[in-house]
Amino acid sequence: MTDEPTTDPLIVVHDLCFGYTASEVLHNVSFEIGEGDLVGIVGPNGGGKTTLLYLLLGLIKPKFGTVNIAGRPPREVRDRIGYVPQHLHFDPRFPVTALDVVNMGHLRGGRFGRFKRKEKDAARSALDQVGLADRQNQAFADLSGGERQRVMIARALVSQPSILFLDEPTANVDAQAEHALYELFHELNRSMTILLVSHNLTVVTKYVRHVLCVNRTACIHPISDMMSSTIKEAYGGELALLLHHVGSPITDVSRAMQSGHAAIHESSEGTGTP
Amino acid sequence: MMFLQDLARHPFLQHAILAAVLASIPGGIVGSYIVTRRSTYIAGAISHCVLGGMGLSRYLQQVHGLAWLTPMTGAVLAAIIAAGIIAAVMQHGRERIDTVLSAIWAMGMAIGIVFIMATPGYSEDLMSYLFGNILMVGRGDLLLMGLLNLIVLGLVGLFYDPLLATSFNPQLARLRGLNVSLYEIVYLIITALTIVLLVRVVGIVLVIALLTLPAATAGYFVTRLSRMMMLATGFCLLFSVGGLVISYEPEWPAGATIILLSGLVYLGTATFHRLYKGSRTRES
Repeated sequence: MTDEPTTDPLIVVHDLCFGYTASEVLHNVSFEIGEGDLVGIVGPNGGGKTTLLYLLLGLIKPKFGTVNIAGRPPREVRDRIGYVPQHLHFDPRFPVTALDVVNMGHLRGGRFGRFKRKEKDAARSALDQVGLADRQNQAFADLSGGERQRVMIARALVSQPSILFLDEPTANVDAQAEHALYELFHELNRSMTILLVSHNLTVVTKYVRHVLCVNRTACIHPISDMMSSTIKEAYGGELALLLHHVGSPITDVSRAMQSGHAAIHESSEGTGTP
Repeated sequence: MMFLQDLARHPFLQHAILAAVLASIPGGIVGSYIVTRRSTYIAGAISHCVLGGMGLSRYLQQVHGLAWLTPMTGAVLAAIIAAGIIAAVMQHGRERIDTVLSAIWAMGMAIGIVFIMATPGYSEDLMSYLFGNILMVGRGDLLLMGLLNLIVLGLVGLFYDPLLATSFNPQLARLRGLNVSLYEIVYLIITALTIVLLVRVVGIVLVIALLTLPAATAGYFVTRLSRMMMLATGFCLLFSVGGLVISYEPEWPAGATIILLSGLVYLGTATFHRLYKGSRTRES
């Protein structure tokens, strides 16, 4: 497996800072992601993972710094990005079927009229791809949590994106379904770049090529680093450190994390900048 | 049956049946949006505000001789203005939306009553505005209803899919690059036009029932919005024609009978559903 991107990086984040209020959720974040990569985004709750995804989607604007996807601001390339949100707030009594929800992925601004046969066929094959071909006419609310998640993935796939962002895609599913989902991401990764947020480091490291650690700042590591026993130990130690520091001010946690990262960078001779 | 014999004889009954059809189509379609979007209160505010438009236009027609300004025209204008205010407040205001809706609701009615009382002649108009009079629907009303039908059906036909997506989950729709505010305005406009249509049949006070009860009843039998719209249209037609027929011989008020029939069927369906299918609860 080659870990380093061979072409120009697809996603370039440079000196990014962002805060919803005066205090910053993300500070001085810089990293690059190559085309065709499969990146796991990990970090503690409240560390800024979802916020980072919003910035990558162009839903919120950075206070400082830049986000570029294929050399353009995210808003301009949003058509190429499929996104699966973490929680879907929906009215369980709303009358939609699984296929209806998948079809919504075809929509974009300035598009009028009903869906074409070709679009409906694409929606069916997207449902087939996630293994739900037989559930297309089921009420969305009657599906299980894992099935709904797969419908949302099909919805993201239907517009044939080249980049896929998934926020905690396996949060509400059992271990078996989680495994199946990761197999699916692995399969999808043949044709698209994937970034997925996860809390489960053990599963993530099995499938992804890079791990992006996000906790106020962000560092990206090739998975080969994670596999070497010393680094694994360093990372494991750092995780424990982070958990113990949950109650302390974010700057302390961030500092602790950076020192944890320093160990990784020393032994791997630096693939990201802290 | 007396109703059927009279139907062949009296044009006013034929008009009434045609009015029921013209009201049921957008009633079922837009009612389905109102029920699934849980925006009955918006529909209530617009429908009550319509009285202001009707009263003012009746006054201007009678006192200042503006013959073209019929109560129906006034109703359309008032409904559109109310929808515009609601859209502006929802999208740009910081006020509590239900408070603003209450203000529109009450002020619309107050304006209506002031001008109805200021208009010389019988104020029996008020009763027909409040409770409708399907038996008084004239040729001109039918033409206007037909026109409003075309506009509502055209807008829904053009925007069905984005309206479904924005009603289901506005955040997701926004992520797809949809202009959610625009579709909110489209939704409010078709709601306003449909309310005007239904006011003619059942009146201002009862219009909410005819918009929500057929759609809510239909909701128990379907899993897709499009099916809900079709079934709701069927129920709407069944209730309005059924109510008309039932009320005819004992000379009950048609509007009230229509609503009572709708309400009984809805409550019956809801109870049946609860008793026999209640165990299969949907997780949220």
